[in-house]
Amino acid sequence: MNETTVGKARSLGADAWYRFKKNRLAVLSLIVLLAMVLVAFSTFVIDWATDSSIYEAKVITQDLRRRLEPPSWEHPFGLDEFGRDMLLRVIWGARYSLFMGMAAVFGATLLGGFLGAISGFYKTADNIIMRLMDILLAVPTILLATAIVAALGTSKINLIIAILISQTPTFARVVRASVLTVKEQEYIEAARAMGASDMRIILRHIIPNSLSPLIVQCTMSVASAILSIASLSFIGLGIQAPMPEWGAMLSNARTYIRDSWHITVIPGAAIMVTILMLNIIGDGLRDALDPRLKN
Amino acid sequence: MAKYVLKRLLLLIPVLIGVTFFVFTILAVAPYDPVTVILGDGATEEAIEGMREELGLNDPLLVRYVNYIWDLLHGDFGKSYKTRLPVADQILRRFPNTILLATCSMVIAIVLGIPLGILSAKKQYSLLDNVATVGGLVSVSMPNFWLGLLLVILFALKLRWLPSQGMGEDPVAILKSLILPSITLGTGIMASIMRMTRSSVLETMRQDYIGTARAKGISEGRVTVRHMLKNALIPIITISALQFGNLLGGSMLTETVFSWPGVGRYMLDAIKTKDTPAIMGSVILMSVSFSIMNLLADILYAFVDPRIKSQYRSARRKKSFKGEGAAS
Repeated sequence: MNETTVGKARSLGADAWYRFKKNRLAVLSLIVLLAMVLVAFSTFVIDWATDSSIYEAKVITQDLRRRLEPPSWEHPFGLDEFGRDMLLRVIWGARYSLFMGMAAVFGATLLGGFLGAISGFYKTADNIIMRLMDILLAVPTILLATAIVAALGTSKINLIIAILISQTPTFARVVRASVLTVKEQEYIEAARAMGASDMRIILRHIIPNSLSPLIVQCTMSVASAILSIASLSFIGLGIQAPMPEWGAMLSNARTYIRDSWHITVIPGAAIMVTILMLNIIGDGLRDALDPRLKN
Repeated sequence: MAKYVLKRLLLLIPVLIGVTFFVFTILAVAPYDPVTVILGDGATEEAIEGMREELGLNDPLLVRYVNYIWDLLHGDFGKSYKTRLPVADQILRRFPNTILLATCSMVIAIVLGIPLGILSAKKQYSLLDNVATVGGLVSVSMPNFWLGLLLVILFALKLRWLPSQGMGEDPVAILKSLILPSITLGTGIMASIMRMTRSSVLETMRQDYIGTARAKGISEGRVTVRHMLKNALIPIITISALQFGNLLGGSMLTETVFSWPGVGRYMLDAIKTKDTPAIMGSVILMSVSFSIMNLLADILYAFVDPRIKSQYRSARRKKSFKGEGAAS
């Protein structure tokens, strides 16, 4: 990954990006997802600039005379069971799914990556850490997250913690596996011969060289974290009404399922599109980062 | 082979001890008092103390855990805080319903997923393949509970063909009430089985023995079933066993949407009423069945693949061969 290489050689990142760009579906998904992140982020800016007055007036305040109004030009996604604009609620809801999902996965990457790197590198720690991870892996992800939230109580932080813990073993396994392969390479031996410390070998050589599977796993995990947030909110253990989280919106919509279809269809479609984009990007990244597929 | 199975079974024991301990500990330190859950807020000091003693809450955590496991091994999951009924009866009455639903979902997923995967692979990049690939991606990305709600809107409320809630009484009614939840749970799994079949068949299609089989003049159907599918089946069997385990331990959302009387919904109800023994019992039962299915997937994998099986067999044969040599 040095600038001094001869000819047209590209770094791993540039090379992967070059191949990723050829996958038009993946690029389109990336654009859509970035747009969603941007919109979700802008809600924070709007809240900050208007002192949450737009949020209070449009997203939370109820207007019972116009409840369950179907989609129209004025309100493209219709109005919900309390007469609130569904489009705005979906937009404001994006920040829970996207940012909380990312936060949980970020935490799980750090924690799982740390544990995985240590157990790949030190034999003694390996047994203890991986047996602990086996225990967490013996419970289905969503069940584990549910049990943790049930024990900790419902709050945004607990929701993130629950998802973080339930995702950690996957990352530990992925990182451990790639550390075990990278560890045997000659350049690690060379670094050790030059007197590099364990810490330096892990940080400078092993982690950069085992990034590819980690990046793919991150993308897939954000999708699964978003699904977990929506699921837990749907069963009443995540984000609570009146906050416009997509899963919580679906949970409320269940009561009115006989009267109106749009309040059920729209939040679920938002979840599905987000997860679909992440899955397509994940697949694209896997192909792009796989050195065996290099031409 | 028997040695391998035995070894894997023994390795399951520490994992299960760990799972039960983890679940027990997080629920034991949960920030609510079980005594107030049972007695309500207005209980006297004396009654509270008596109840704490009765439930063994005054003992240290480790003692409580050992007692719990001891009872568990005797088939006693404790009594529900809410109903004061034995949790074991409640769970065991519901578990068959969860198994029934999981089985039906798996049948749908396999019956549709494998043929679709084969067709996609044989007609790679055709319209059918592209539709199946995109459809597969979409159905993997769909939240189960949302798909369930959509099916309810269409087939139960608009068309009125099928019931939307609960489980029927007689066989025909049970079958009818099974259809929507099974499709809900089966769709995502069908997509992953289809994807797996497609890539697995694509890989075996390029093997030399397929060309040999065709050259011998075997009909295309026979080549597909006897030569391609049989060899492509190994990863498909593994993923099916894993998914079945996932269904046993993770179908509580679908059970909630359809008011299906399974263990998952029982657990969610118990969480709402803070009924710790009921939560613990259901989580442990679901995790154990999930782990056993994972184990079964590994064993099946070793069992179905003749390459893996022969490793064990040839090791034994070599040994006995050596033995003979030494004797002569």
